[in-house]
Amino acid sequence: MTQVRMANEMAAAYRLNRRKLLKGTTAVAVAAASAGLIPSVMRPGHFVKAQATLNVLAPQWPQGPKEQALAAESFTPDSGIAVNFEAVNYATLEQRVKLLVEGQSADYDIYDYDSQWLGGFVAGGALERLDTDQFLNNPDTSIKMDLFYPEITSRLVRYPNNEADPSETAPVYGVPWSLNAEALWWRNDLMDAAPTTWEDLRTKAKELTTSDMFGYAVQGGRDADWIISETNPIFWGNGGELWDQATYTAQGILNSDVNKQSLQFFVDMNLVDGSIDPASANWTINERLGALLTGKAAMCLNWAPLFGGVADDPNQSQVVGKIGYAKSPAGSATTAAMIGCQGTGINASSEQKDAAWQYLEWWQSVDTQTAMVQDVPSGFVSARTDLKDLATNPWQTVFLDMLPDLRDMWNIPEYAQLLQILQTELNLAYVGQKSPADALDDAALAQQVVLDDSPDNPVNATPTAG
Amino acid sequence: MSANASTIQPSEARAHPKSRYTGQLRSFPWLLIVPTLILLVALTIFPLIYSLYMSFHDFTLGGAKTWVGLDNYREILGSRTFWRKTWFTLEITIFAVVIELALGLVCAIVLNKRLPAMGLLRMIVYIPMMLSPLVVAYFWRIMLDGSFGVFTWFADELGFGKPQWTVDLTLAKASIVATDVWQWTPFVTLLMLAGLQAVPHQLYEAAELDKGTRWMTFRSITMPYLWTPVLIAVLFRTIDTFKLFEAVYIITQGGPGDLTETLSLTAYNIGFEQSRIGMGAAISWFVVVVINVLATVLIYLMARSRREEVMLAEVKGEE
Repeated sequence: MTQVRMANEMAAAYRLNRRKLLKGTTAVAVAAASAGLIPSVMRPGHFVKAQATLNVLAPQWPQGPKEQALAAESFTPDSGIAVNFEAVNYATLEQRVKLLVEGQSADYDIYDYDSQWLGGFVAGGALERLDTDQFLNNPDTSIKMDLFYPEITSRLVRYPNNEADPSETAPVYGVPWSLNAEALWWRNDLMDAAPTTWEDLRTKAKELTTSDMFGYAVQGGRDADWIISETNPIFWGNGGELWDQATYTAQGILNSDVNKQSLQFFVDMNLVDGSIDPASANWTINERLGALLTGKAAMCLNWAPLFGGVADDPNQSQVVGKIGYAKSPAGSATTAAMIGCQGTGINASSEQKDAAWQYLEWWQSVDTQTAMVQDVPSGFVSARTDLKDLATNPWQTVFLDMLPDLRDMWNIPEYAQLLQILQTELNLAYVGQKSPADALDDAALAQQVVLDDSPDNPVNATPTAG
Repeated sequence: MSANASTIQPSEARAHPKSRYTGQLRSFPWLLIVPTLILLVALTIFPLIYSLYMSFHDFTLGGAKTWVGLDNYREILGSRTFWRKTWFTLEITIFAVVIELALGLVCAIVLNKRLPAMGLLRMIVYIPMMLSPLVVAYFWRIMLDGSFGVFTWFADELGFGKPQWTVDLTLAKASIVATDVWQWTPFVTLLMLAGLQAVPHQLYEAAELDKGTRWMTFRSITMPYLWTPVLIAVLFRTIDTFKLFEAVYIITQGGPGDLTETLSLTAYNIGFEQSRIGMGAAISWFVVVVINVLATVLIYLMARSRREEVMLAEVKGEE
């Protein structure tokens, strides 16, 4: 009897608790619903805006369609959040984001950005800082910065960073989106092995040049980051630098003797050796890759893994099975590979930051990253160190081989001015309008004016009181 | 008709309705104009004034906006590079407009003949000016490619090697002019043809009776009728070519280096590529001022030409 009474009491208590629980849950649900929120399936205990639509602004990259398809397949059904993925021409993306930020627009919730734009975007207030309790420091979040390669995060998502001494503690404004570096694409039917040094490459380029083929192809135009992507690996490889980030100095560094010799070397491949098509002086990335894939050039630097298996696609390539991928050649001092990575961050003016973070968590999840790596047309490598073994294609593994060699140029707000100044002078030297020494002297002088005026130049720092 | 009614004057009877209708009639034109005015102010006048305001600021997208007065103008006017680009823009404008006028005149004379299928020929000649300048620029870029372009192939076949149309400075300038000439000669042709068709046929018959030479006929009869179309063509083509952007941006990217960079491309590079809005606006306003000066001179010449035509007609009438 006593047991029965106890059982009845327990049942009453249980009913009471369940009632309380139901009441409480109902109250929370009503409050959430009145605020337009629904429970998140992906993050238990969290709410998302009912029928929310996240707008993502991204460059037109090969991985875009797969990302969008995966989002529709798994993210939206699980979270109740639709994703509108708008891919625009890379050349216009930076300005578009800056204009949106100027108007404090909430039209897009997520911006994908290039590593060089980071300083300008941070200074302009485009990106939400992520190393906060709401995001990265939240114990429930699935994104941890130590998931990723430090060579990538220090250059791609942390700002301010120092290229010479990459920091692991600077503020975080994004997570990795797309990883690339310039590798050497070479004809393995014409050479036994890829050249490992720039000298070796020059010799092989001369040997392979015939009336029907040039030994080497370059993107020599001065738009975007065309010609600088050709010269930077040679400068850095021979021990040169573009500037001293600590003192904001270009004079004497950009136009150092070693850089002048490096530029002379590059120009001579065109004007003296004749092993590069002279038409390349205003070529872009498309013409450079086109020359290789149509058999008009035997080697070129090109981004990997960006183009996936394009060289082995008979619809796009006349050299199927004949392209190998090697690390960027070494200079007299070291090996340096130009980085070409993009990050993805939350618009600081977005009204759906939690939902945007949910998307980034989904993006960096093992399942999503695995699907991306395994999709050949996406030309994708994950920034997650635990997924390293998934990268098995040669155009993927070469990127991972180059991780220790990665270098980036300026990513301060003035980067676009510095870039245009240098590229104009490099192009003039490339076509023989100026000597390499004069071109670098003029570039260094003009860049120094920009750096001297920069509010971030330590010389211009406002002295603090006391 | 009643006495009361006869005492009311018609004007009084209509007084009230007239004032109401008059008021409505007065405001009606304004109602029609207001939407246009709003669009004009929103899309043209405000951006124009705002860009002038911006040109007095040091403003980079994402950065602070600082009033600098005339500093941006001082900087561009004191820059040798800027004056080199201004001269290049003028050089391109002069070459292109002169060639377009000469070719336009020749084409107009040919198209003015009474020949079979002339309608079809005229239509074909006018096609280039109907195309988007961007499409034309891409089309020419491909044809001029120093590696696989059709012009390069022809030159190679003829034993001239492979000219680098867009890399060699002289050829790059010529390529830009050629693209502009190809697209806009039809426009000049159209204007000239209109002028030629306005010449009374009797004048040519009279000249034939007087045994006038071809040159005398052209100089004394045709030219006076062509003078106004020529000035209109010069006005439009000068304004348009001085603003040239697409052909340069697509074909040479302003290269080699920045040696074929027009002022419009410079304004674009500084304003959009470098995000220096204030400086870009100052360059754009410099272009506006130059174009206005050129346009004023040409309009003055046109007005003088028109006055002379009218005086000539009056003298002929008195005779």
